[in-house]
Amino acid sequence: MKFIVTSSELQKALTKISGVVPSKSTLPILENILFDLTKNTLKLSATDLEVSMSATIEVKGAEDGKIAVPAKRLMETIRALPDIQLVFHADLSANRIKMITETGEYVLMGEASDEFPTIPQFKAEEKLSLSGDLLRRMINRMIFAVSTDELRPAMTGMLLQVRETELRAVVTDGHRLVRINYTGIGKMKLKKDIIVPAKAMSLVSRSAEEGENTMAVDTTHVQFTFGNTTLTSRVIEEAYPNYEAVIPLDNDKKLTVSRDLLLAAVRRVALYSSSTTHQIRCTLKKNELRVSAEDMDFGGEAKEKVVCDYSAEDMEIGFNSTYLIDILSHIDSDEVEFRLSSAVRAAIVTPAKQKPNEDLLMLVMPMRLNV
Amino acid sequence: MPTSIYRELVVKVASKIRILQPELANKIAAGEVVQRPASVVKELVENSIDAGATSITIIIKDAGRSLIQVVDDGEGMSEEDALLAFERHATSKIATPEDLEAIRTLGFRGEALASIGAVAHVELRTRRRIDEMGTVIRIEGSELKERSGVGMEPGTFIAVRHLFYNTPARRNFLKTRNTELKNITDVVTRMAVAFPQIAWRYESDEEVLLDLRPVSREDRLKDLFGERQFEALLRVESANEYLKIDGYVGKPHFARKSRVDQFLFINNRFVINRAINHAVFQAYEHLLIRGMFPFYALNIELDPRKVDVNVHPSKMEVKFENESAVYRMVLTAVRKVLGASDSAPEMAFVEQETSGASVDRLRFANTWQSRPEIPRSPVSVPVDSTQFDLSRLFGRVEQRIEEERVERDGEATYPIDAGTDKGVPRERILQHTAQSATTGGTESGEARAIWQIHNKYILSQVKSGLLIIDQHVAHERILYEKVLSQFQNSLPTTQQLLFPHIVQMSASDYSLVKELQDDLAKIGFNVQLFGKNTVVIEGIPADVRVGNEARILQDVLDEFKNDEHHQTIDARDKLAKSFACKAAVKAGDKLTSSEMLVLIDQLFATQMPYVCPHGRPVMVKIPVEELDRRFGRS
Amino acid sequence: MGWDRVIGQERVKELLRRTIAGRKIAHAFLFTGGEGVGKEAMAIEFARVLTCAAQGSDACGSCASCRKADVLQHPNIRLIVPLPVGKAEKAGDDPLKGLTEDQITAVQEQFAQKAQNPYHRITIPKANFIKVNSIRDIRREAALSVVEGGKRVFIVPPADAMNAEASNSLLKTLEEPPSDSVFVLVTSQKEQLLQTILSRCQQVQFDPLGEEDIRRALVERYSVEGDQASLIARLANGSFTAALELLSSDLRAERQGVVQFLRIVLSGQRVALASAIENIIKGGDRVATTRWLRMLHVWLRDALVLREHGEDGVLNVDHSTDLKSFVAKFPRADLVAAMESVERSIALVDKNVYLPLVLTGLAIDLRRSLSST
Repeated sequence: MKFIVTSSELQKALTKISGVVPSKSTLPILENILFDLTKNTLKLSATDLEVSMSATIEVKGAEDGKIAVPAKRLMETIRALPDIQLVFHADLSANRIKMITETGEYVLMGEASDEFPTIPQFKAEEKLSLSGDLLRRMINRMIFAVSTDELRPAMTGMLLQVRETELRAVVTDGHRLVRINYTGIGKMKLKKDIIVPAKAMSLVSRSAEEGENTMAVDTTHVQFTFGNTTLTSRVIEEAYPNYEAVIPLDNDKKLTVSRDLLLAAVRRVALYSSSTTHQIRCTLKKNELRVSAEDMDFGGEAKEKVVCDYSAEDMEIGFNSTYLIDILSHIDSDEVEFRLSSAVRAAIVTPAKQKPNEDLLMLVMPMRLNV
Repeated sequence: MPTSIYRELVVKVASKIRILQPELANKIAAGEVVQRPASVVKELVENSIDAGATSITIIIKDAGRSLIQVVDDGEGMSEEDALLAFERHATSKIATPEDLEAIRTLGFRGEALASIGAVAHVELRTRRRIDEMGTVIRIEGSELKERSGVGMEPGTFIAVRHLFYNTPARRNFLKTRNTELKNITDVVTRMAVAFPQIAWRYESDEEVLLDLRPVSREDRLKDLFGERQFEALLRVESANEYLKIDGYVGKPHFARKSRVDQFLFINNRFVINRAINHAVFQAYEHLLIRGMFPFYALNIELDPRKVDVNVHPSKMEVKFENESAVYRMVLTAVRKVLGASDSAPEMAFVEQETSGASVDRLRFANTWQSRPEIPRSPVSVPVDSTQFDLSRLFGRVEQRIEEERVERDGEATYPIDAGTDKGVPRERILQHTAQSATTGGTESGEARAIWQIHNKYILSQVKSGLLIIDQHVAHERILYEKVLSQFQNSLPTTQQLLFPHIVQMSASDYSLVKELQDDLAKIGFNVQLFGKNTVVIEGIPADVRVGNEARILQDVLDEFKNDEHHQTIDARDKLAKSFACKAAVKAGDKLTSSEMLVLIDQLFATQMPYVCPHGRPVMVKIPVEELDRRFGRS
Repeated sequence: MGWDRVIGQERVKELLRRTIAGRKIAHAFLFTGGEGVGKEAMAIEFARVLTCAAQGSDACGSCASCRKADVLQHPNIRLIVPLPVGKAEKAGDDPLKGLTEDQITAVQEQFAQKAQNPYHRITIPKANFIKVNSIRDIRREAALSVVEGGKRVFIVPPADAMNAEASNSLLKTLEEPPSDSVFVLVTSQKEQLLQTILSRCQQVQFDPLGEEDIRRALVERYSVEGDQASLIARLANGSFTAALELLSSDLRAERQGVVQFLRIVLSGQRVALASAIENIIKGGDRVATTRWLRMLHVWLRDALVLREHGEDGVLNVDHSTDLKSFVAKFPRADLVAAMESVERSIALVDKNVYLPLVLTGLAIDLRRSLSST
């Protein structure tokens, strides 16, 4: 196997995918990057068995072949080189790699390519194109509410639902839930639900490029393509909890309030909430929202009045202040809308004004108040 | 007590000895009884006490390897008895239960002497008051080497030389000189506490380690324990019309892995009674780690007719007429003293000579004196939310992801986030709290700080030194008391769940939930019984850590069922313990500085901050003096 | 075929082969039986067959999957072993996170050795139990779609090394078994496992290996000389791992100790006997004591063989001078009774009888039966 490439181009491609190389693993082969040369196309792949990434670059190919190259040593070498041309030459029978520059020669030992885990063969059942902005925006708005409880694996991922002209994304940790619907995304033939691990989604948010990206799904994998980089992730094969059933439809007490004012008030009052439960109390009267907290252990208390738009009957509801802060700081509209029903049922929070083609809904479970 | 152990050994060995040849049997028996120099000392000293000595001198050379010498002024022996003491073993055949019985009725003290004679060079000089001359007997490896008369004061002199000279394996088995000497010292100390009316002198390699006049028991304790150690003792005093309890118990950290430091006196006489032992032990209940035994020296005064001291020929075991009343009284008295004391264990004691510490110094009235001087947060912290945001400290990874996004993606910043979350370095916050410590009016002007090490322990400065807190047990204690108070006040905080957990249980767990349902609700569990062994968890206590909720109920139930050590305690207490144990932060959980502050604050607001509900210590205190001493500053 | 990599255990092989052929594979297996009889080797082979692309009841040995399984680099075959606790390791962390570079290397090396020799006993310094984070990792893994098709096999050796938290976590996984996954728990101490875990596994009992199996494996795989192989096979007590340990231990010195012991017994030197006994029991090591007794047993057997049949069949070939002089000196020794005493002693050691007593008793018995006239 032999090709010629500039060190900067190689480094650029390596940087894109090196994020998935695990630093610690019982499978030493994973600490390698697979080089696969076909004519003038070099495909670089890395995987941690959960997420695989690959990037292709054009090189001056001389001899096709495949070999696994130790990632750390390779990256360190390339990074230390000036921007120059180098000849990459691998002796596949001895797994010996030689990189030759004008002035130097670097030899490192690789591994046979067939020990490298198979990069999943992917047969797209559905494909849709999404802008990098949309992907990033979607993921960053939601990922805070992903569960880390491996006892409920489904909730450690993001549910993506493909529906005709709509893409729905859902995350929940059992206390909060975020759902975003995007409409006007092409026309899809299939109804498809997949759960993508949170880690893959974070990587997507980091790797998404300006302009069009595509997302494709098959039965066991999801694949995102950003320019010449692809990210393939295994999906979580578990039943997602029936989230639609827990989104209440009959919450008729509507509260509209300035996001900034409420967030600031909650943050201040929260300082006086119990340090273990973080509970704050929201008392609603006509056009008045009072946020209060009481620290049972040390006897401090705080309250704030926030002007709002509220005309339903008076009520009181308790929340974990950190949940409320999380939710409010992930909604970007001047005003937010709460729809409530009772002190023990879920509260719906939405931006008062949705972005075009976007429908964002957040749900937070209250804390039962001790009366 | 020691004799019964010996008897057990004899029985144990004897039952297996028959298959062996008799000479071999002697060898093994001797080896088993006389295991190390300390056991020789113990046997000899017990002989002296039995002989009614008022003064006993023990001289040790090379940790007993070359010499163990015990001299007393007791009643002495006749020449015949002295010979018999060595010979009995050699001629006896322990083959039948009757033989064993015979040994027991003859008194088996002499057995030890014979055993010692089998593995050492022993010189015995003894003279009764009525005899004009004393007797000298020299035995080497069970063989009589000399038998003659000698002029001497009444009493007994025994010198054991070249211990284990003929059993090299046993000799090689001895521990280091220091360990062996420590064992001997333990034996002598114990005897000295038990028999204050006897004068003791104890020398090792020509250095006088103890020289004690006959005194009252209290003075003996003071003489024996240096000032610092004496401080680890708590005075017990309690009386009613029938009996009076008086003496000392050790603070929990003074406990040992064996019962060597337990002394019970009835009307000033050393006795053994298992019930009283147990009463004291019960009083420590939560304070001791399993396998540890408390120090105590207690005298019980009561009408001699209410106690039978002749239950056992060795005259050490006693029986009370009304044992349960005595039991309860001891339990109550000791428990009371322990509850009122500062039980934070201190590290390493300084060996110091006594300086007449008064008894009052033993009372530790101020339970709170070791509370760390750090600001109470969040209440007393002057809050300025534009400078820092406490919620950030409690925030989780997701928030950081969000921040990262904000930093990378300048386009979508939110006005408020940008103002507060970014750019406040953590040091600033620490500095802030540190400052509020100085302005907050604590007596010292220095700033305080706390650290977490190994994600397991919290270090903090206190007035008298350094405090080390185990975060898991500390939290356990907090939750435990919180739950107990919730049972009283019924003020739970329940986080409602979006997706109720439907849990299929075993029939026994189901009925347990049914039984405990009200109490579980008071902790904060919103649990519905669904029939068919199925429960639905709709809400969980708000302080359960995220990721724990699906299993917390089952964990608590399991812990509840498994907690066999505390079967006697009522169900609520057990439930509180189980919940506390399962919901507490674990060793290995990283805590932010403000979380640590909160933890410490809450800990010292509990009634017993020093031990967790299961009896493990919560904190260890290292006094400044100890640090000074270690750094050679004293 | 592939199953040949496992020594003996024909009954178990047949059972597993039929299970695979019947396509009725349980979600969880429990391989039980003594130390070193090949449970882990069998589990690995079983996993290899289950992941093989050919999907037969034997591993084809040539597909990419088999090749990866051969070197234990197959992504769908996971060995869950005790690991050291990482620095600042928290609940939910990757079990390898927080381990030092050296520790990771040690883990990888042990896996490599295991790949080379499935009878290798994985020992990682400071790894005392299977961490709950390792079990959590399984849950995460098991929830994901399968990487390369076929089954996913989680091997847990030794399952008794799971602490309570890990056991409970695994139990929850076994209660709702993930699709396409097979768990193989391996233990020689079944009673240490939770009853609830036992009841969820199909149990497969392994027998001690036959002497002939061990002997042949030693000759074929380790080129051990016939006599020594027979001797080791006899001493190994049905455990191939023990045989490998014996192979690398100083057998000569230990056997010299046997001769020395007999000399002392027959000469009646009591003091020397006491210290000899102390030497043998090594502070109460029952395994070592048993091994020593087996050596004694073989030595007495050799004496018997020599006396009745001549030198052919003697295992302690290098001791023939000692053996001959022994037989000449004690021609009427009741060797059968002596061997029976040794057997009784082995049983007593197993029953936790106080070791010095066992050996002292044995010395008396031996003296009687060997010097009988």
